[in-house]
Amino acid sequence: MTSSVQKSEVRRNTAVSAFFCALLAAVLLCFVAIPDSDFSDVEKRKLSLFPELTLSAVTNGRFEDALEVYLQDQFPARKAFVGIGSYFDALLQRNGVDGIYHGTDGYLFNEPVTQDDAKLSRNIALLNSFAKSSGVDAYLMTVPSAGYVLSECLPVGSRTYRDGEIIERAADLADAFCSVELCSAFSQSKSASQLYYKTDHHWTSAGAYIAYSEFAKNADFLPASRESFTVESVDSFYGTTYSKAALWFKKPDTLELWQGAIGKNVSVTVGDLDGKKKTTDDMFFREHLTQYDMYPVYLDGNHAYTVITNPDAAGGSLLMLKDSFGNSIAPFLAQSFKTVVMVDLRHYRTQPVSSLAEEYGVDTLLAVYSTDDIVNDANFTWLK
Amino acid sequence: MKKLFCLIICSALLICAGCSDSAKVEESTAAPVTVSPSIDIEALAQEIYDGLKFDDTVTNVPGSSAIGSYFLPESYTGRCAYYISTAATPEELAVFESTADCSAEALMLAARERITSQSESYASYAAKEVPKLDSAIIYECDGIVVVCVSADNESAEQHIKSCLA
Repeated sequence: MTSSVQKSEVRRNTAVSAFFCALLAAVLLCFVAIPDSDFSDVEKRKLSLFPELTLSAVTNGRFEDALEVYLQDQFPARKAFVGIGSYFDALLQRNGVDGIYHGTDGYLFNEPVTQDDAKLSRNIALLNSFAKSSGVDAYLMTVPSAGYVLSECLPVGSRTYRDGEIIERAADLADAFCSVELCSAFSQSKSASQLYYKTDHHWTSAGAYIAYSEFAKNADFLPASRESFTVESVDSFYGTTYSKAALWFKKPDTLELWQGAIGKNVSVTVGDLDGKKKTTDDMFFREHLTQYDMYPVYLDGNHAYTVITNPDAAGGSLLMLKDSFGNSIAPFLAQSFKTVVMVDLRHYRTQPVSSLAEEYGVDTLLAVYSTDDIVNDANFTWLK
Repeated sequence: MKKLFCLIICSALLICAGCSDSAKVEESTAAPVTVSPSIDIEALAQEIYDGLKFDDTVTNVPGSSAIGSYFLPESYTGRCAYYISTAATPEELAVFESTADCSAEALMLAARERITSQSESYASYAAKEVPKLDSAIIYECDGIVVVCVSADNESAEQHIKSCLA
């Protein structure tokens, strides 16, 4: 009897050991057999490849660090494991642990921007200085975050969004600018239209249109009517907050392309300071719609500068200093301005923006920045 | 026997943990140091720059630009030298002198924030450039802080150390 029990225990232990050995061997085999990938579409980031093995790298620890990151990035079924981890966190109510709040109605929100008056003051002072030297009408549009506007969708216990205070402070400091206030207009419209994507931190085209209309009120021109646009909808858009949250079963967003009536003769040039440049006749770069990251469909995403010319528009020449929020409002602005010159200071720093403004005869200046970038972008220092 | 085995494993773990070196950047643990006025920061930066490899055109700009780029306090009075790319790549070289008001620790913290911010920015602009930022060098020696993002950070690290030795 005792011998029988012992045999049974040995068999069970052997089976357990064999199972775990087989599991480890299977993981190892998968690791070796599956080719390395250098980019994760869903996470929108480069993955680490096998590090270069040198004596100095081993002795100073860099090889070991890089190897650890490589193993994490290339682990078999990585996407599934990352997702399991995120759903497990959600199950444990660890909302916001990855910098993303899981709101109601499918919204994923970036955590709030931290107020930093010293940084904000410095950035606004640089903008003021540029606006004064340019001598043109200047407008500042600070875009509130989705978490601030849609606060009713935030989970219980989330940190307070202080975008209203940041925007008000920026408006007070920006004495060379007329401030385009969006919070009220967004609050009034949020029940009628979806102003922000659920899986991305950007505003939707509907949100951008409202911002364009508010700018028109401040700058005293008649905006193109909503009915004058032909709207094309594209499904299956997943944005930045989806990539960070790794909740892979979330429903995708619908991306809208609003084609203006005054756009038959549009010309768009996007360029970077390494000399790369391309010109096209469409503000929507549709090749991005077949890629995982669709947001660059608006003007090919971020570039050092972009110039849109629309000879049929009534207005003059607009210089827009912007972050990525500017990409989706620009097609609306091109309905009202003959020339829209967009500059992204994160990638435009060795040449003076004033020369570009002079070249295109700019008569209006618009700065479009999210609350995050108006506070934290260190690149206003290149504005001259 | 089991207890002995556990003891050996625990000891090994503790010893191995002591051997690990996971920091990507070299941390400064020294007390505040006054940099000798005889050290020519511009010449040092030029020497470092001459031994680095860049994919982009990287040019020397006034050191004061680095105060803005790194969000250093406006009261920062230290000497600094700054080389930047066209912004098509994140490549740059910055050499800072720590001061009584702005320690090497503070400079390194500002450098880390700059690298993080650049990583986020380049992820949506030129993702292939992000690995250069992942392996950026932030090195401190005797109160001088060097920040380097180059095409070959592995060899850049050795070169920077030899220049500051």
